[in-house]
Amino acid sequence: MKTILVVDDEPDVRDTVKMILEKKGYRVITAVDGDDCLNRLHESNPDLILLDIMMPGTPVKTVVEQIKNSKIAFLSVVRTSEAEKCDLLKQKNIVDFIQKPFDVDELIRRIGVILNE
Amino acid sequence: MNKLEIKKELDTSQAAILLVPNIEYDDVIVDMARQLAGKKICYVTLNKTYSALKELLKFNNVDMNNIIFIDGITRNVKNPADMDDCRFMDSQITVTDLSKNLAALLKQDFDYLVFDSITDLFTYQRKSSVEYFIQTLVNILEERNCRGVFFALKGFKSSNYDQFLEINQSATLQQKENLPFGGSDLFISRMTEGIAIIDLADERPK
Repeated sequence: MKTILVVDDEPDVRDTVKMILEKKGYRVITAVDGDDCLNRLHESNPDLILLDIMMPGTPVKTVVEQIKNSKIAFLSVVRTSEAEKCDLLKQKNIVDFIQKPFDVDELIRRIGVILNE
Repeated sequence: MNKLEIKKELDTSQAAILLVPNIEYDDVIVDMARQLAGKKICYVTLNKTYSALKELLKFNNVDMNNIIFIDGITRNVKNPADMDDCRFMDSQITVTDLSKNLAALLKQDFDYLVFDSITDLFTYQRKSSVEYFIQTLVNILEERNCRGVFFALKGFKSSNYDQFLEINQSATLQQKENLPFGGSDLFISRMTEGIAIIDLADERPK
């Protein structure tokens, strides 16, 4: 069973995404910010981290630098240009950039692609 | 959507808060930028990255020659170099430091400061801090003879923003009852002085 870590400071987002992904058979862990994410990594080895890019606490770029073995997909309510998305996707471990609000079916599809399912 | 006439609104107010429905957000940015074309603008963004804003405005043929952007997002995910027309700042900056930085920047004789958006400020700040920030910034704008345009997303739902959602039933503020935030008496009283609230979801005829 693949493990996904959902990192978002909004409890509604965490709870909703957790519910959706667990129904699809994933094991889901949640974290409230970047620091909590790094703590969770000690407990588990997620296959994928869904990471909100605008959260209080440690900047996301610092969190990303410390993630070694997991794929990362950014979740973003902030809009950026296509050129910048491409640039961000060149970073180590960053595999996708998912705009909020997201379509549930599209989210599941993209996660399936990332995890080669 | 209620027609935006930003210069007219700012003839009698030091600042205006634009309550913008999500679906019209980009249109309002473009419309406002067009109306303020030729004026010197400081555009502080916590909502779209600098590159996304430029892409939007360029696509809509808006003249950006007199706009200086302050991007409080991009540095969260990478280390961008400052551009001629953009300064990148840390998104987790305190409101006190943000106020200081803007006070220093506004010495450059801008005609308008655009702050996009109050809603995004809630990612990092408490309601009381946002109130304080707006009050402080409007005072700075007055000192610098600069008009302010604050974006606020209408109907945005989040646990932090919800704390700020109070409808003020005071008779003196009846016209402002659609404020997305209530707040302290001090804030409300300050809000009546020199700040126009423009609800762009009003169905008033154009």
